[in-house]
Amino acid sequence: MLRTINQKFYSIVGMLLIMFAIGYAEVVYFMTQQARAAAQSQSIISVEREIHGLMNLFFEMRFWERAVFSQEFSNAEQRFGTLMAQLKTQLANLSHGPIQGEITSQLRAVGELLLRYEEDFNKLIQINTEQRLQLTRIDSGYQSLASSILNIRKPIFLKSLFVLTQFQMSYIDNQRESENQALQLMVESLKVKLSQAEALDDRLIGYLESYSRILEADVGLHRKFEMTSKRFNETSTALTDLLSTISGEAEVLLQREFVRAENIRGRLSRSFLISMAVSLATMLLVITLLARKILRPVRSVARVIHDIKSGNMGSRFDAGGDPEDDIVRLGLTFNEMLDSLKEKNQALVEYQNALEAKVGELAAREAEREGLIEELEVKNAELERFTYTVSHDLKSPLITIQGFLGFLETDAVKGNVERMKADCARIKSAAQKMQRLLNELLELSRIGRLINPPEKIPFGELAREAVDMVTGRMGAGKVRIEIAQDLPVLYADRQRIREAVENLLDNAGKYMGSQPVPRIEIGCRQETGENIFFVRDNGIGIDPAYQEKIFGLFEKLDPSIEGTGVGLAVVKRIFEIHGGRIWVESEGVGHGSTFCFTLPRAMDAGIREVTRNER
Amino acid sequence: MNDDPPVILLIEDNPDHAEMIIRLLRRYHASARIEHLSDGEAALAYLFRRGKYSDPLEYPMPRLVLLDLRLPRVDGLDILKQIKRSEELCRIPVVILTTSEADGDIAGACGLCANSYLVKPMDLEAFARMIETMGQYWLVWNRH
Repeated sequence: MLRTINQKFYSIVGMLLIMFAIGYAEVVYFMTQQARAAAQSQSIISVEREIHGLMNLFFEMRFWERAVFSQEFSNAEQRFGTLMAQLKTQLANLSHGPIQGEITSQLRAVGELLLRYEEDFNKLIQINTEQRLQLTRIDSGYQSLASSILNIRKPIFLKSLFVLTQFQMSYIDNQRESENQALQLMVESLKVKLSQAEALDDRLIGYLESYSRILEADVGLHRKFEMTSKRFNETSTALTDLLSTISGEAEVLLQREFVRAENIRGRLSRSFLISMAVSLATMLLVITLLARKILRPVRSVARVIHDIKSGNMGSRFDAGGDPEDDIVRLGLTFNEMLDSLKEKNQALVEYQNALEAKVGELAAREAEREGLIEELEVKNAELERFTYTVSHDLKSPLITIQGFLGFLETDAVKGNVERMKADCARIKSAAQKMQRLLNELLELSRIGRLINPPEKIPFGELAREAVDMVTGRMGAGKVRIEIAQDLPVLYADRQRIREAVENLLDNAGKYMGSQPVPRIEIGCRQETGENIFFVRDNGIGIDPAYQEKIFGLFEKLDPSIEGTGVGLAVVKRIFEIHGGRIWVESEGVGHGSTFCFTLPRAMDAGIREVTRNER
Repeated sequence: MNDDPPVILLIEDNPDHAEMIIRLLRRYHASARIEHLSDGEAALAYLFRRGKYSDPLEYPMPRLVLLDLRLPRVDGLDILKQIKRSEELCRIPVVILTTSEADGDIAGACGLCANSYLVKPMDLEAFARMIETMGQYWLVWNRH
């Protein structure tokens, strides 16, 4: 489920779309509900208001109804009619309005009652008019009767007439039935009196009877009025009650409507809250899904990439999950790629190491080759110098010999014996010098070629041997030679090293100058872990400028001192072929000199390959 | 040119050779005064009037320098270089008189403006002729 990125994407988008749609539908539904409730409340409020208006109209109409009867206002009847018409119209409107149920039937009853009310009212008006007519009739009947009686001209009847008048006035004022009866009785008694007095003629009887009839009719009319009025009042009361009831009911209805609207609002907000909670929960679900299915593996891949970038090649995707899942598969593929990369890298590193080793080997070989070339060049230069020096130095005595032989001839011709002797001496010395030179050159060339196997040499012992060898040449007892105690042991060609030391001692002896207490010291000092052997004298010393030069072949600082200038070159050569060094230390002329030499540590320790020097 | 005898400065370490050259010079150029020095240091001291050579009357400037190449202390080519570098001395003819026929020496001397490079002949006759001609050339004919 939701394995591919497509599926994930579309399901999430779909979920979000559905949530959106539901949200919108909810909003629309809520708004519709609210609008409907509001409309209903509105209509109920208007109905209630109309009913209220109806009542007010009714009460106003009743006021005008009374006004009609009391005849206080001339336009009362007209106003009443208008109000009645309004009332009817309003009632009709209400019956066709939006109200329902009980109120409709009640309204119908109101209509019926209103019809009866109107009917009775009209009847009452009619009766009232008739009554007023009746009063006029009564009055005219009375007038006729009174004038007839007055015509009799008998005072006795006047009294009766007066009483009758009294009674009639009272009746007209009060309109009581008893008074009407009393009045009739008065008429009867008058009739009786008249008949007794024989004053009763036909016309009078007619008047009396007519009057009596009018009175009686008036009673009937009165009764009819009373009855109608009673019914009218009942109708009015019923109407009033009914309207009150309807008004009350409308109010109750309104109240109920308010409650209902309140309920709807409450329900809506509850639904809204629930819907919000559901949406939130769905969102959370989506986010969790997103995090579990997408973010976690993606983050793991990102972490791996970051690790790799910062050099941690061992980092791997480890979010787990369904291996068919696209992102998980991506991570796993990434892992495979990294593994193969690691393998290849390993191979590459190995290859590189091999290559480096080879390059190192080559470089070493190259260095060795270069070293050899350098050595060869040095040797070549040395050889050149050697050839040059040899040719120069061998030519010199030859020129001398040749030259003085020529002079000798001239001297012989001249007979100059003294000069001849001197020339011969020069020739002899040149020949000897040449012989010595040749011997030393032979020796020098031997040093380079022949080497004896190295052996352990206690240096003190070797120094003593050398001193023994040179003492004779130096003139016994003249130069004091001191050898230091506890000198180290060397490992070298014993014979050559002794030759070198002898040469150094000879050299020191030759350059003693006019030193009154000539002294030579043989010793060894330690410097940076190296044994530095030395032969120190207190002779003439060497200017620092010539300290290098003296080791050259045929170099002599002082031409007057005997020697070929080969000695120090031989010494240098001996130490060179041992891999050591030789140099001179002197503060200058008159301060004596110290010839120092070292041998490589291997020579000190006793391990030394000889082959290299034999090349 | 003045009337003082010309001075030839001979710088030669080999006493036998020096003796030969002096004898030959005396034979052919008897009027010349010969100053012989056997090492380079002394030669420089003479030329630059240092130490005991500071008196110009006793040690006048040479008209000709005969210079051997292989000398103790200071090499012949060094002396040549110092002469040719010095404003006062550079006009003095310097004739190299040596046993060396090495190319390096000849090139070095020419490079440092040696006036002449002569190799000592083995045969005395040839030597004598060379000294005679050389002296004639540098002391009589050559102007510098």
